[in-house]
Amino acid sequence: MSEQSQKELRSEGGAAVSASVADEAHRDQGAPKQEARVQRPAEVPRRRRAQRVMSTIARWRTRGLAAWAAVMLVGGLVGLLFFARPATSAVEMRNLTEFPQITLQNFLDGSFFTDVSLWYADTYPLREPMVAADHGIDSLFGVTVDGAMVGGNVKADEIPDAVSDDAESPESSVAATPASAPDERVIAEDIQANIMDGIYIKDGAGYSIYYFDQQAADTYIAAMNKAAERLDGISTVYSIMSPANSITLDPVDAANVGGSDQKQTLAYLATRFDQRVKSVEIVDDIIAHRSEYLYFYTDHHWTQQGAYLAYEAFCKAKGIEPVTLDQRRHENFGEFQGTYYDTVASMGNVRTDTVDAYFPNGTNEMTYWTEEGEELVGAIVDENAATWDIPFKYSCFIQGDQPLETIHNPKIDDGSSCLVVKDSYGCAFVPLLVDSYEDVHVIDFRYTDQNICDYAKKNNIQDVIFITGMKIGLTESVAATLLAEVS
Amino acid sequence: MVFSSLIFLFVFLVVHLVVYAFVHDRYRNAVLLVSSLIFYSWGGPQYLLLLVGDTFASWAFALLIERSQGQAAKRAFLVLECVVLLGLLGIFKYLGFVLGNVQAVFGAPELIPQIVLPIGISFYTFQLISYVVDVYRGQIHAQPRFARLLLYSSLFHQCIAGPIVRYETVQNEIEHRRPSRNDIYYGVRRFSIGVAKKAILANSCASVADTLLPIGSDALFTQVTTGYWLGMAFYMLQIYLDFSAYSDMAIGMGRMVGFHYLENFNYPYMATSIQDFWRRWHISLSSFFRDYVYIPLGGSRCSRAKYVRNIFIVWFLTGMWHGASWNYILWGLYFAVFLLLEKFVIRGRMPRVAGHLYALIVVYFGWVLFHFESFAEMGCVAAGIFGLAGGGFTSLEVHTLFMQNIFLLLFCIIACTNLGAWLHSRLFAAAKGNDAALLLYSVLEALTPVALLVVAVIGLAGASYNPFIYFQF
Repeated sequence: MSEQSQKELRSEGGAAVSASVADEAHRDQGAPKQEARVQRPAEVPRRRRAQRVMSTIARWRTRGLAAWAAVMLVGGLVGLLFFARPATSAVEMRNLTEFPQITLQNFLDGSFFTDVSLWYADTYPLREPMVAADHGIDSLFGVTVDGAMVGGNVKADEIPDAVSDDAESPESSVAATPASAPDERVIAEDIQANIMDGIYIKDGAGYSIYYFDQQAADTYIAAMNKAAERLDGISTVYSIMSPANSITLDPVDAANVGGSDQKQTLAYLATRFDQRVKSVEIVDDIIAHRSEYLYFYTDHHWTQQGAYLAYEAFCKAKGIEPVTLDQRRHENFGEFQGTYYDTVASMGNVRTDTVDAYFPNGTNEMTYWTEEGEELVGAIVDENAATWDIPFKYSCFIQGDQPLETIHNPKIDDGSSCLVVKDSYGCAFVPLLVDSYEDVHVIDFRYTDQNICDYAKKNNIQDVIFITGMKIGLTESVAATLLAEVS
Repeated sequence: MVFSSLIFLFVFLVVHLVVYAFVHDRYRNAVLLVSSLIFYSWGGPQYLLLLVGDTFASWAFALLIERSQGQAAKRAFLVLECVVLLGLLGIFKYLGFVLGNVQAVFGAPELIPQIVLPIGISFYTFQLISYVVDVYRGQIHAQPRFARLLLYSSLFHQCIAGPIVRYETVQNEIEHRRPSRNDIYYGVRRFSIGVAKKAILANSCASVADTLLPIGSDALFTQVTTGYWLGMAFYMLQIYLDFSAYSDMAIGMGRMVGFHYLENFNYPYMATSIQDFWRRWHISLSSFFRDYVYIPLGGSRCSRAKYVRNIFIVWFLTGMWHGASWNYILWGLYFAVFLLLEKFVIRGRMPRVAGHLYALIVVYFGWVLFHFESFAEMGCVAAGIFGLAGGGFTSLEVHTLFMQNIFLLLFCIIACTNLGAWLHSRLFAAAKGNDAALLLYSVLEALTPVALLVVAVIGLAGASYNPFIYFQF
C-alpha cells in the first residue's frame, strides 16, 4: 500500500476502521528491514495475519466496487431502452409524463430540464416493479393497526339545524352563479383529495368519512332548486345521494372516527330543497341493510346491490314497481381492487371484493359519446369485464364515466323517458333503471359542458334524476359545475 | 439536477464516471469542469452567468491582491470583492425581503421585484469569499488559471448544497490527485450511504412530517397536540438526514476522484450543549462564520459587551444565510441566546445526560422557528406543542401514522447516532482475530455500497409513484 493511500485511509471521515486498517498497513510496511532484525518469533504470525486481513478485505471491496459499477451501468443501459418506456400506468390510472417540448424560455429558466428529469424517472422501464418493491420497503417501517385512520384532519362545518327557519336560504348564501364550470382537472383533483382524505380501515375494509362543507351543500341545493325552477311543468327533478360507505359502520366505530353526520346532512338538504325537488331518501334503507354487501371493501363506490336500494327507493318515490334483482340475469366478474386498496393493504389483510353485475332485461345496448366526441355503441353491462385488469372492473357498468349516453328499451313503448345526471355512483344505478323507461339518457356532468335543462327540454324528458355520492356531489367545485350546467 | 434522482444516477453520474475513468489524466479536470457546468445548467442555464461572473471577479481580485505591493491596495481589492459578491447575493437573495419590509413600514415601494434565487448562490459565494480572503491573508496563493478556479467554485459535488469547501482544502488536489482503490471504495460507499439515507430515510420522514404539518393548509391549524409533537420530531430527523445525506454524497463523489473534503456533520443530535451542537452541525458554515466574521470581530478575546455583540452579529448572519425571512433570523438569534446562557450562566456545569436532553430540546424547538416562515403557523405549532391545539390532544390519524412508522422512527434515531460506525469498528476489531468475523466484515464491505444503491434506486422510483385514482386517461 502506498504512503499516499495510507494517508487517505487515515483521513477517512470519522471511521475508526480505516484508521485501524491504516495502522495495520503502516505496521505492515513501515521499515520492514529494521523490524525484521528486531522481530520476535511471535510477531511473524501476527504480521501474516494482518496481511491476510488486509488482502481479504481489499479483495472483497474490489468485488463490491465491481458490483456497484455493474448496477450503475445496467441502470444506465436500461434507461436507454427508449422503446421499453411506458406511456401510461395502469396501476396509477394516469398518463405518464411526456418528454417536454423545448422553448427558449423553458430552456433558460431550467424548467425544460426539470421536466426531462421527471420524464426520465416517470417512464423508466423498470419503474413499476421498483414501485412495488418500494411499497414492500415502506411496509417495514411500522406495524399495521386495525381501526386505523388515514387522513381525516379536516375541519367540517357545523350542519345547520334542518328545521330552523332562521337559517340563511341557500340561494342567498351561494355567490352568483359561476359563469363557467371549474376546470375538469380541478374537479378531478378536488374529488381525489376529498375521497382520499379521511379513510378509516377496519377488518380489511376502507370506510370514507364524510365532512360537511356548508358552501358546497348550499351550492348543490341551489343547483337542484334551479333545475326544478327551469324544468317546472316539463320534467320532475329527483335528487339521490349515496352516503359515504362509513354509513355502514357500527355506531361505536362511527362515534370514534369523527366526521359529520350524513343523515343530518341529507335532512338539511331535503329541508332546503324547493318543494318541486323530490328527494329520494335511501339512508335509512342502507342503515337497515348495512350488514349486506352494499359497498365495496376497497373502493368508495357502492356495489350494484347498494345501488339497487336507491333504485327501489326511487321507484317508491315515483310510484312505480321496481324490477327486482332476482328478476334479472346476473354475473360475477371476479376480483376487483378499488381506490382504497393500497391504503387498506398498507394496514394488513384486505377483504376481497368482487363485482356482481345485474343485466337489464329490455336491452343491453347503448349509444355513447366519448369526451373526444366520438359516437360509439357498447354494452350497458359489459360482459368482457371478467377479463379486465382488476382495478377497472367497476367500469363494467355503462362503459364507465362517459359524457353522454342514450339507451332505448325496445320492450317498452309508453314514451317514458328519464335523464340521469350522474357521477360514478350513477354507473351501477343506470342498468337497473333501463327496465323502467322506454328511453334513458345519461349525462356525466363532470365531463361535459352540456346544459342539462336545455337537454331535458329538447328531448322531452319526463324525469331528471340527479345521482351522486355525497363525498363527490357535495364537493365545492363539483357542485359549482352542476349549478353552472343547470343554469 | 438533484443527486437523489434517477437521471442523475443513471445518466449524469454513469456517463461522467465512465468518461472520467477512461480519459487521460491531463483531461480529467476538463471532464470535471464540463460535467459541473452541465450539472449546474440543469437548474437553469441563465444562472450560470452569475456563477461564472462571480468566479471571474474573485479570480481577478485574488490575482490583483497577490500582485499588489501595498496593504491599502490589497485591502481595496478585498473590499471590492466583498462588495461585488455580497452585493449580488444581496440582490438575488435578499432584495425582495428587504423591500418587503420597507414596504410594510413605509408603504413604498409599491412593486417588489420577484427575483428567483439562483441555485447554490449562498454556497459558492461563501466559497469564493473565503478564497479571496485567504489570498489576502497570505494563507494561500492565488490561482492563476481561471478554469481551475471555476472548477473549484462550480464543482458539482458541492456547488449547490455544500459543504462549503475551502480552497485551501483542495488546492493541491485540483492540480494533482491520484485516488487509490481504497479512495474509490470509500467514495462509493459514502455516496451510497448518502443516497440511501436521502431516498429512504429523509424522504420517508418528510412524508410523515408533511402529512402532519401541511404548510399553507388549514389542516395545520386543526392538528392535535400529539400530531405537532410527532410531526416536528419527524421534521427534526428529516432535516438532519436530508442535509447530511447531501454532504455524504458530496464527500463520497469527491473521494471517488481523489478530493478529500472535510466533514460537514458529526452526529449533531448527540451534542451535549448548543455550543457542541454547532461544532457538529453544518461545520463548514459555522467554521466560515468563525474564521471570517467572529474572529475578525474580536471573537471572545474582548470585553463582555463586545463578545455579546459579536455573538449576536454572527448568529444574526447565520440565521439570515439560511433564508430571506425573519423566522431564520429569529432561529439564529435563538441560538445566540442559548450560547450566551451557556457561556455566562451554565458554564459547563450541566451533567452529561441533562446536557444531551437540554440540547435536543433546544434544537427541537429551534426547528419550529426554522420550519415555518409564517408567524401564524409557527405560533400555532408552538402553542399546539404545549397543548393549546385546535384539534385536541390526540387523534386516530396520528396514532395510525405513529404505529405505521414506528420502526422508521427508531431506525432514524439510531441513524443519527454513531452506533453504526461503532459496530463497524467493533466488527473490524473482531475480524483481525477471527476468520468468521473477517469473512462477515469483508462480505459486508462488499455488499454495503451495492445494497444501499439498489435500495436507494427503489426508493427514488417509489417517490415517482403518483396514482390518480379518480382521473381518467
